Order: sequence, then C-alpha cells, then structure tokens
Amino acid sequence: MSTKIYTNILIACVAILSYSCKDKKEDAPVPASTSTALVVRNLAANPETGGNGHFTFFSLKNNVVVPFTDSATTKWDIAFNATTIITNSGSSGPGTVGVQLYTGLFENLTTAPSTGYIQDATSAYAISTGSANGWYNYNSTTHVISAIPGRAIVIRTNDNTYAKMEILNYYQNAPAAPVNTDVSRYYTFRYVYQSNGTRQF
Amino acid sequence: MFRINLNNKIIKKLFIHIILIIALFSSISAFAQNGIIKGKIVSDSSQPVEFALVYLKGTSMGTNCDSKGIFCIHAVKPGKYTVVFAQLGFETVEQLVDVHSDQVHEIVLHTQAKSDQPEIVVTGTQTEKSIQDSPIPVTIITESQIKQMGSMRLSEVLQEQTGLAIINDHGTGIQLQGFNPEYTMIMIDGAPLIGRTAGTFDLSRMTVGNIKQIEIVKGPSSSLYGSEALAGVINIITQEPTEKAGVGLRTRYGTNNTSDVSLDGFFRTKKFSYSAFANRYSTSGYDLVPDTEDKTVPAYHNYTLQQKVAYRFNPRLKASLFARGFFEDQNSNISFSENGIDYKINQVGNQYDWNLLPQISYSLNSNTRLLLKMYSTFYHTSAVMTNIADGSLYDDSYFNQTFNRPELIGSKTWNKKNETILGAGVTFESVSATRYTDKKRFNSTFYYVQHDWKPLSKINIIAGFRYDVHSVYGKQLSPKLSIKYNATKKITFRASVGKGFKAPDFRQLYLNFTNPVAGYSVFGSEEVLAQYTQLEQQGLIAQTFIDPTTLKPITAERSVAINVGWNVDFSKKMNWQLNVFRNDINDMIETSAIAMKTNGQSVYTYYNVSKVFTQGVETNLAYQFHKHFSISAGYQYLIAKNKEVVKDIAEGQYYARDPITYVTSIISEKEYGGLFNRSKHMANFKLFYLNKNTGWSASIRAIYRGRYGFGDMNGNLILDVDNEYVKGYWLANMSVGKTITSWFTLQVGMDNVFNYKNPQYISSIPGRLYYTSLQLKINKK
Repeated sequence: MSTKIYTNILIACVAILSYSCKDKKEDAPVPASTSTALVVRNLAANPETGGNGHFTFFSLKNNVVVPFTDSATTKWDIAFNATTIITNSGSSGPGTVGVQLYTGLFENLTTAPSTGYIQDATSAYAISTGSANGWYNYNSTTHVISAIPGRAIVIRTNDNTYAKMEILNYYQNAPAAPVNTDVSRYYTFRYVYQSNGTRQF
Repeated sequence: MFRINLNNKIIKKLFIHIILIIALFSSISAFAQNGIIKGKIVSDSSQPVEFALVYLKGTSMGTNCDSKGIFCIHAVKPGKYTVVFAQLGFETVEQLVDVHSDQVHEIVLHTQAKSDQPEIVVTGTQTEKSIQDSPIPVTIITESQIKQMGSMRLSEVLQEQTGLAIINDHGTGIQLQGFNPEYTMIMIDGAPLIGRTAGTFDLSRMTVGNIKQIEIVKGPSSSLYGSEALAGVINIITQEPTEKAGVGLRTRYGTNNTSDVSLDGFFRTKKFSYSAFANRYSTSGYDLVPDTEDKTVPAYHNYTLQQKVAYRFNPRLKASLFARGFFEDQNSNISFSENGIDYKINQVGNQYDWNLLPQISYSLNSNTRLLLKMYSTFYHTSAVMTNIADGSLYDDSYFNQTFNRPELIGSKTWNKKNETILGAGVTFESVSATRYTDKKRFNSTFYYVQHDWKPLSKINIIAGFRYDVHSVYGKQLSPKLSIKYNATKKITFRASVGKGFKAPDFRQLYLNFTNPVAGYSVFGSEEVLAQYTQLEQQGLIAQTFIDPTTLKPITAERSVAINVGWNVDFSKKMNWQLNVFRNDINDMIETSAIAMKTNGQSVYTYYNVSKVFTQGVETNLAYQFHKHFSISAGYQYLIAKNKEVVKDIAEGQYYARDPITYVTSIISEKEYGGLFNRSKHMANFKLFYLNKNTGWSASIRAIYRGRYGFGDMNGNLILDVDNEYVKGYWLANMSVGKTITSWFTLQVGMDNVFNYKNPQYISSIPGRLYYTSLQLKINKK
C-alpha cells in the first residue's frame, strides 16, 4: 500500500520566515532561508485493514516514507504505529534523534529549545503514550482519538537539524468531526524543517 | 418514614383513669382545690380532630387530644385561662375559660380545615414540618398537580420542575444542582431505592399513580441519609387511606400505543388500615430515525404492585408494612455490524425489584418515641441476546443486588423549643453479576443525631451529623447546619451549610469487564491490580501509562455545600422563592486508561481525580391571579466547572484547533463552557386553571432547557466551541380535564405540542404525544 504524500507550502511560512529573518539581524551571517512548512496527509500507520504490522518510518528532511528494510539505518527520524510514535534513538533505532513536547501555539514556536531532548528507552518512549500524556487525547465517551490542540513535538534529527511538528488528525482523509467507526491510524500532520542547522523556524 | 405526631397516646389511658378519679372526687367534693378543663375539638365537617395539641396560653400546661378529639387538662389552678387549640392543617382556635376550684369545665372548640392547607414535608428533617416551617428548603409536588399534568412516570413529573434536568445515561435520571443522577438519592416512603445502571436510577421505573406527594430536597442530605444524598434527595410519599374505604381506577391511552392502567383500593377501621395499588404500563415504543432498521425505543411493558398495612395495637404501639414490586419485560431486535460481520440479534430483557419495609413505632412516654425499620430490597436485571438466524446465543448477562438495613430511630421532644433525633443502623449490601468475579459484599454501620432548636420565636436552628463506617472505603463524617429566620411575617431567610459524600459503588470497586467485541477492559479499583498483573503475565499489556501499584486506594467523593435563600409571601396569593447554591466536590471518581493492551485497546480503572464545583441561583414565582387561575415561573442559572481545567485555562494551557483550517488558538476563561450536559439556563412557565364548581381544569406548561454541551469535537476534551453544544429547546405540554360527576373525570392532553425532536442528541423525546385519560374514584367517608 503506497502512501500519498502531498506537500504544501503554507502561506503562513512567508510570515514566519520574514519574522525569523528580522529576529536574526544581530546574529552572525544568516544562512540562506531554508525552513519550509509542510503538510503530510494520510500517512498510514499500520491501519487495521491493509496494515503491514510494522511501524511506518519517516524522513523529515526528505519528506518521504522510508522503507521498512531501512529501519536499522539512520535514514528515518520518526516512525508511527497506531497511536505510538517512536524516534530513531536509544532502544528504537541506531540514530541520535531527540525529541521534546511543546505546549503552545505552533507558530509561536520560533526557536527550538537548546536542551531537553530525550530519546527512546526500553522503559518509556520519548513521546509518551497514553491519553493526554503525549500527542493525543482519548475521549472515553466517544472513543475518538484526537491530537491535542496546542501541542507540538520538537525534533532534533540525525543530522543535528531541527524540526517542529504538529499532528492534526488520526483518521483517514482527516474528517473534521471523526467518529469511532471512521478508519483510524492515518496521520495528518504538519511540520517545519530547518535544514540550515539553526534552531530558528 | 418517621413522623412525629403531636399526639400523646399515653394520655388516653391516663385520661380514663383520671376521669374516673375526678368523677369520684367531684362526687364527694373533697380535697381537690383545682379545676379541670375537658372538652372536644370538632372540625367543620363535624369530624373529631385527632391528636391535636391543646394548651393553656402563658402556662406550661397542655395535652394532646385522643383519636376522638377529646382532651382533658386537670389540676388547673382557679383563674382565667385561654385554651388554645393548634393543629397543622387547621385554624388555630382560642377560648376563654374561667376555672373555679373543684369544677369540671366542659368546652367544645370548633375549628375548620384551613382552605390553603399547609403542606407537610418530612424529608428535610425526618420530622413532620409544614413547608413554611422547615429550615431546609423542600420542593413539593402534590397529587393534584401530578393529576393535572396527566403524568404517568416519575421522570415526566420531575422534568417540569425548576432546576431539574433529565439526563439519559443508561436510563432516565435527574440532574440536580448540576450533579449527575448518581448523586441524588431516590426514596419511596423514606426507603432508598436501588438498582442503578452506570449510576443512573431509571426514573421511568416509577409510576406516579398512587403518590400523595413528591418531596425534593436540594443540597447535601448526607447528614441524615448518608451516601448518594450528596446532591439531594427525592422522596416519593405514597398515599395513606384518609377515608373509610374507596376504590379507584385510572387509565390513560395515547400515541405509540402507550397505555397506563392503575387500580387502587383501601379501607380503614379504628385500628387497622390497608391499601393496595396495581399499575400496568405498556408502550410500543417509537422510532425517531425511520430509515434505520431498529427502533429508537423498543416496545416494553411493566407492572407495579404495592400495598400498605398498618395496625395500631394501642395508643403507644403501631406497626406497619409496606411492600412493593416492579416487573418489566422487553423484547427487541437489534442489528449492527462488527468487524465486517452483520448481526441481527433478538434481545430479551427482564428486570424486577421489590421493597419490603416493616416498621414498628412505640411511644415510651408523651415525648419520647422509638421507631424500628427493617428495610430490605432486591434488584435484578438480565438480558439474553440470540442470533435471529440460527438461534445461537450471542450474549447472556445478569445483575443482582440486595440491600438490607435495620435502623432504629429515637426522638425526644424536650420542650417547645428543643427536639432531638438519634438514629443508628447497619446496611448490608451485595452484588453478583456477570461482570463481577464473584459475589461482592459491603456492609456499613451508621449513626446520626439531629437537634432542632428554636432559641427565639423567629429563629429555628437544626444541627446534625451522621457518621458512616464502611467495610471497604472507610469512615465518613457528614455534618450539616441549617438556620431559618423569620424576618417579618412575610419574609423568611434560610441558610445551610453541609457536607455530602458518595461512596464508591460496586461498579467502581469490583467491576471486571472486558468488552467481547471492542476488546477493552474496565476493572474496579479493588480488582485492577490482580487483573492487570494477570494480563501482564499473559503478555497482553503493550504499554503501561500508570502503574496500578502506584494508585491510591479509592475513597468516597466528598462535597461541601452552601445554600442561602429566602421566601417572600407578598400576599396569600403571591409567593417568591430564591436559593443561591455552591457545591465544591473533591476527589470525584473518574475512569482513566492505565494501560494499553497488545490488541491496541485500553485498560481502564476508576480513581479519585477531579475537583469540580457547581454554583447557581434557583428562583420560583407563583401567583394565584384569579379565583380559578394560577401562574408560576421558575428559573435556574447554573455554572458547573472542573477546577483544574479552570486553573489550566487561566495559565494559558488549553488550546482549541479548528478541525478544518487547523488554526489553533488559546482558550479564554469565557470560552470554557464547563462540564458537559449542564444547561446554563433552564426555565419553566405554567398556567393552571381549576374550577371546582364546574369541574373543569386545564393546564399549559412550557419548559425550556438552554443549550448544553454533548461532547468534545476539537480534541481538547473540554467544552469550548459552538458545535459541541446541543441547541436549547422548548417543550410545551397541555391538558384539559372535566370532572363530570364527583367520581368520574375525563382528561385529554397533548405533550410536546411543538413536536420538538432531536434524533441525533436526544433519543428520549419522542415528539408530539396525544392522550386521553379516564378516572373513577369512589370513596366512603
């Protein structure tokens, strides 16, 4: 099953860029503007029908799904299986990825923190699982999984570049009002990847 | 129900002796210096007034009449006295008597039943008080109101009352001061009713065919009734025979083949009274979404049987027995699909419950009484689901609950200003069910004391507490203090502060349930560790969110509540009531996922997490603006919020994301709509017409329920955006009746006149209903 990935450049990005450029006036010479905001839709994360039983591995730099056969490499940054997200680090992979959760408005996250990145361990994943712990809320009345508004994941990649990511929907074709009978385990998320090595978005 | 009669039965015997002695003494005209006043109280219908209080004004001398209305006050020093007769429901009468030594003064006092008879309530204090005199505010719904409304079930009656909202969650329950149904105790004649599903006692189980009145106490009543009375108490008072004998028949038939037939009969002699009641209710249900195969509410029928026997052995000793049974059957077909397989299932549901309440009351002397109650009740429900195609069993489940409670209550009237009640009892409860590992038992011991003090004529203070010792969740102390102050004849202030609690129920302690289809598990707090360990050993736990060994033991939910209000009688015809309330509840029990299984489903358990408050104002205005017309209006403003959410919002920690544009914003305090299912505004307007001369009666009632949240739509789990609300709506009901002869009444009515329906969110409102009813009533005075 192939995953269609659409890439959109958001208009908002322009604003963010201009803001970050202004911000860096006093800093050392700025590398060419390199951060882009991307939206990934319908990333299948081992869906109940047609799932492969594996995590789906993803490269933020290249905005592509990395084949399962490359799971033991550093070609991927994060991977998805149902509601669980792992990082290429510690107990999950050979990489050096670090992540941390951010609470606030996505666009207000203009600088990635310099410290505080954690890696996967056998005792706990860096992105905590469970309702309200990590990226999602589970509604025990409707049994719907929804991405927590105002929560982002800040990622330091294998290349020591930074990205910020916000998950938007967990259901196929991102219904505005999902119900528990909708097909789940299809991620829609947006992320901003800064390739120049700075922590500015 | 414990009622303190003003009677003093011991006097009767003494009285006979005294009469003999007096007769002897007066015939020989010796020794005696003092006079005697004896007499009889007669009401306008020439009926003697039983057990009334008669006293001499400005003295401590007084007595109670006997059952024939005869009284005798002896050893009265010569002089002029005013004899005062006082009895609830009758006009107070005074008469001057000039007492001479060695004389017997015979008088007859003529009184009459008050036209606007004060309503007597018992639920707030466990003693009889007129509704105006009760320091604890009590709402009362009388039989005649229920009849005029044409109602059949308790849920229909309650939904028209100010501040009460109908909540449908595994049955029809009531929300009171913003609390879910599980926090309100439902009683019949003072005995708690059991059989709750997911916390809801289904009020449609209760017929209103033989109700004398319904009493509603808002605010915590745990100081008398213990657990479950955290939000308040609804007490159904069944009818007592007031005349010698009678039979009655009441039938109602209407839309959806809904029929309700009640039959009752009673008789009483001097010492013995008996009444019996039977009701059958049936409906073919209704379908709000006709294009689906299943009905919204399938057909069902039920029976209620009730009887009351009372016997007075002598003036001091009285015994009674109340028995009630309820039986319901439902047969329905349901269809659904699971994992791509279509199922057509036949479900046979059955539930019944019975209550048995023998009680004995004994007067030690004229002001000390004992009451022994031996209450037992049983509730059963079961459902058998079979595949229609091949008759194979799909699911079979049952639930049995028992509740037994011996309770001893003593009351002592010290003087006109002080009265004390003491109570103690033990509750034995057990549950066995498909979803429980084995038979589970609870028991608890409780003690309570309440003192009623009138330090000044204008002030009445009631203070009391109850202490519960429970076998599983520990000890609870629930105090309450209430004050009433009559500022003027027309204005009364009331205030109370009290603690309420709700014990964790069987489900929260012992549930052991794994959904056979979805695969998730819910374990009670006492089961979770063992069940979790077992799953872990089987390798079925994928992730643990909260280690169950770190969970604190579950405790009772506790609240502190303040109620302050007033009552203003502008005139005999116009009355205004207002009550401001605030409830703070700590340790609210919620379900939370503690682990995820390898099948991707969660393991849930119950524990104390939330802190919640509810506050608001409730007000009622009633006005009899014409001989035959009366109007009333009621309104409640309610705020109910989770305190942690409020705190997090204040710190800017809550966000909302538009699911289409993905624009995220910070939620302001104003946007937080509070707990789901609570309407900020609720109101009702009622117009009643009653003409006793022509026999016509009519009513128009409109009930408004303001918008309320149904669930989260934008992922933050709280109520904050417009599409998370159910729109506010009006329901209007009307009825017209005519009493053709004194024993025959016809009535027609229409419920939900505007045909309001909301299939998506409110499955319990069936649309417009027409009905006609017929009542026959023959009584012998």
